[in-house]
Amino acid sequence: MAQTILRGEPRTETGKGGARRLRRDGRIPAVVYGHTEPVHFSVSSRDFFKTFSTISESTIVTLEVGSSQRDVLIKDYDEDITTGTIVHLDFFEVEKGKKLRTHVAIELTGSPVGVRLGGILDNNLHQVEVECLPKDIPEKFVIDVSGLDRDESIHVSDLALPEGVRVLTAPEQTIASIVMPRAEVESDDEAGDGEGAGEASAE
Amino acid sequence: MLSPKRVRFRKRQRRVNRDLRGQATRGNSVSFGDYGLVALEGQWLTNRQIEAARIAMTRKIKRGGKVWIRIFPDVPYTKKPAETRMGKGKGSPERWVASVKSGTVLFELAGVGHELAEEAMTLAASKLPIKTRFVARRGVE
Repeated sequence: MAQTILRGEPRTETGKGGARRLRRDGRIPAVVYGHTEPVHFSVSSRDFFKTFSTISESTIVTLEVGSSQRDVLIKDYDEDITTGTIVHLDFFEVEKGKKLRTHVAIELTGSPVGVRLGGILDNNLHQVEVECLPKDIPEKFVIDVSGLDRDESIHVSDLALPEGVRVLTAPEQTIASIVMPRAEVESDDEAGDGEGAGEASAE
Repeated sequence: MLSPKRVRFRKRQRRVNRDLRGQATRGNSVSFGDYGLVALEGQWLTNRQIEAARIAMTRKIKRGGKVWIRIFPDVPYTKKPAETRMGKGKGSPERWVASVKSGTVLFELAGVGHELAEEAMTLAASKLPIKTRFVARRGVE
């Protein structure tokens, strides 16, 4: 996996006032924690989105804050869903040679047989929790679903795991399945946007 | 049409401040599907509006994907009959509404492409009395 470098500036101001001032200047407040003392810093919003097209917990990033360098994972992020902006970032410092727990994304590829026969591909699980050494973290699990027929499913136990990686998610959990669409019940008043006589029938 | 099967109390106080103002702290992320429609305003949505939005969306995707309705109209909305003098007690239940705060994910979609999902959600949004925003789950192109 290619190493990505992210530069941050240490911040002295914490709390909502300081954080808001940073956001106004186009920066994202962040914190890094792990086996050493937590450090508060900020990253440039533009740099962050240039580096990461998608946020993934399974990408090890080299974080440069001031003069120090550390290997980190994106542990969590806060998003303002009404504006689509990232409000805060949590980084987790990984310790070389020590196992860690993280989430790895699942990507489905191929066009399933069942979908061609009228079914719908239902992706129930988008990521699994794994335990492994930092160097062994898979970027993502790619599953080929082209052989999936109607009423068939793929479970966590079907994942092809690289050596040294242990999945913590329950093995019987369904990742993807082909379900048949239910028949649409067409009602007479389906336009539905009229505000005519209500039929609230509270008992 | 969505409505509760059974309720404990037929009528309820309005609770506008608590139910409609401020940001949603629950139900504010795309959890099941790949795409979602987020409310940008606090408002009551009636079961008719929710149903109209759902029908508009499912017709566009032609049963190709899967739709989740993330809100439920469980609040009774009462109204006094026309030309009635004030007083004489609270009106009778007229319709069911869902209390929606800004940031609530109203609908989710999966099993369709980005473009079709956005078109379907735009049609659904046109049936609703509030401003909305189309969002994709992080990691989905």
